[in-house]
Amino acid sequence: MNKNHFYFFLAVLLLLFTGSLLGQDSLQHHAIFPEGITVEYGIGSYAVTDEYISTEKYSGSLPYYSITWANQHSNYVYHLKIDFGNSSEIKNNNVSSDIYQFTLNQGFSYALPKFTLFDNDTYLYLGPSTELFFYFNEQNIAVSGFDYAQSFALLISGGINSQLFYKLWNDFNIEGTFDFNILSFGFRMVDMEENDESPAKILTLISANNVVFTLGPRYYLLDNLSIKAAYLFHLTRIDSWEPLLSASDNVVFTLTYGF
Amino acid sequence: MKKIISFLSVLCLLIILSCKDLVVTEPETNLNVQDFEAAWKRIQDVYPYLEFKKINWDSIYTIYRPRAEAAQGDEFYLVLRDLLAELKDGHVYYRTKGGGEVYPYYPQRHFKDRHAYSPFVIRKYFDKELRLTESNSVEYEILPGNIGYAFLSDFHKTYLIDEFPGVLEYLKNTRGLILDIRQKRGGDYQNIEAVVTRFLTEPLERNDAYTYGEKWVLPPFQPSGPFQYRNPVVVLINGSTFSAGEFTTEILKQLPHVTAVGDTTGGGSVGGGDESLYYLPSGKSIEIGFIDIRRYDGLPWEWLGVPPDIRVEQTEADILAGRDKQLEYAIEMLK
Repeated sequence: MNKNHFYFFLAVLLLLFTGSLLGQDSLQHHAIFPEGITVEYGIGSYAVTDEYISTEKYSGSLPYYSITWANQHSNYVYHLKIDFGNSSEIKNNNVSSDIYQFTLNQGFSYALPKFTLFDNDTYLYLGPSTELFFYFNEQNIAVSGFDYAQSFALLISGGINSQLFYKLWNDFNIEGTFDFNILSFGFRMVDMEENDESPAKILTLISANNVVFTLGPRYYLLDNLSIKAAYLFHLTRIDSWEPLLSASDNVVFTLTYGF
Repeated sequence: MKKIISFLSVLCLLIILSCKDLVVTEPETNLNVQDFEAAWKRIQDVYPYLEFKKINWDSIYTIYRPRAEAAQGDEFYLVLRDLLAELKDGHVYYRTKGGGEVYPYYPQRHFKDRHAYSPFVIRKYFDKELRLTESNSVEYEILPGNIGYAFLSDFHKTYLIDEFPGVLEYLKNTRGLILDIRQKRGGDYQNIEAVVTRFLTEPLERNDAYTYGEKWVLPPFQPSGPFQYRNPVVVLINGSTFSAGEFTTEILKQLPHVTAVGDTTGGGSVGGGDESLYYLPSGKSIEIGFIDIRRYDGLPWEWLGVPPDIRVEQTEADILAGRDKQLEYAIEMLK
């Protein structure tokens, strides 16, 4: 390979990695994706039916805490998010359960071409994500011994994350997100004594879903400081063992500081 | 502004609609009363110690049936827990629909002694690391003074059938042997037999056992294995020794070269194996044994436990001070 060939291939590679063509709208919407550190607090109304415990529905208030790091790279946004929820007041009549939920999610979001919706600019990001989701449930029933009715589930998933930004004014957006898993490696508490069912399985969309949907307005107080209030819906369904179905409606308050 | 109001209205609507309740719904049926009836009847039909424990099971019905009727949803677990706790039987438990076991009652002697033993303190008496069988069911080694030591931790599956011969082979030339079955819960009859028959020098009549009042007729225990361990044996027991551990102790106590040292065992003699598990209409299940197993003096060891030949009390304070007085006593006996 002579020098000219080398420079030619280098130029082609650079073009491929930049991801946008001359004359095309930029795919890099630096200002629209809320980069930096985001902290969230939410108050949620939560319900779960965990058939490892029983077929009964438990419900109550489950606070939600989250921290996210998002960073714009050349043609994608990398984001890492940790969220946690815990309550000991998830009740079925006069029986309560301690519920713990923890999620570690990282993803890459690639900008799609900007489009117009009801006369306003709209930006859509789409990309792959990986996620670790842990759920633990312990029933609060006093016993004289050391055993408690408890159950857990763990999903290690690959999925899709998407974000939509609807720009109403310069400092005011409507934002929506929709994240879901596609393929998961799942773990679940099983009855080791009475059957040989494996506690670990590969799960598809048919046997396990972990879906998060949010929708809410964001207001920029400063160029690098914004607040958001949103509705968050979280659904978890695992059907491969004793079924687990949980869902929550949350109102989430967000503060984002960009560097 | 109109757009914002419309948008906020949609958000409010989502929250008011409470999507979670559309996804997670209440169960269609409530089988609490049926579950209660099935549990109460199962215990009345098969549990062998109602009379021994002087429990009037009919009066229990009159108390718990209204509670079962009043229980909403999983409140029934509270009724089931209290109903089973009336038996004060460490073998009895309920299982959630998926199989999570909850024991409503533990023997009081277990609470007394549960911290009066520590595998870390045990290790201080050895000058080398203890050996462990493949299944981790036995740890064993030779103490200074050529005294064998084996801690039997698990009588389940075929662990001791498979692994105890190898343990005894390693310890066969010792001047005496300590069998430690403190902190031991349940297990299977075949494993008990696999251990005790290695210490027999002649056939031994079995202790009595009854199923639904009918006495078992079984041939005596026979010596088994390539050799019999004939040197002095000390069996260490305490309040946490339970079920299969007590059974093993009771049989070994009949042998002239075996001495049980420590404290009275927990006291659980009801048996039944896999058939003890009984499913209720809702999918929950209860473990209710139906075999009444007796000591050689004719009494069940349920509640009574198996007493030691030589009582050596040990407390959590001894363990915290780094001493296992029961083990020290056994070592002195075998020196």
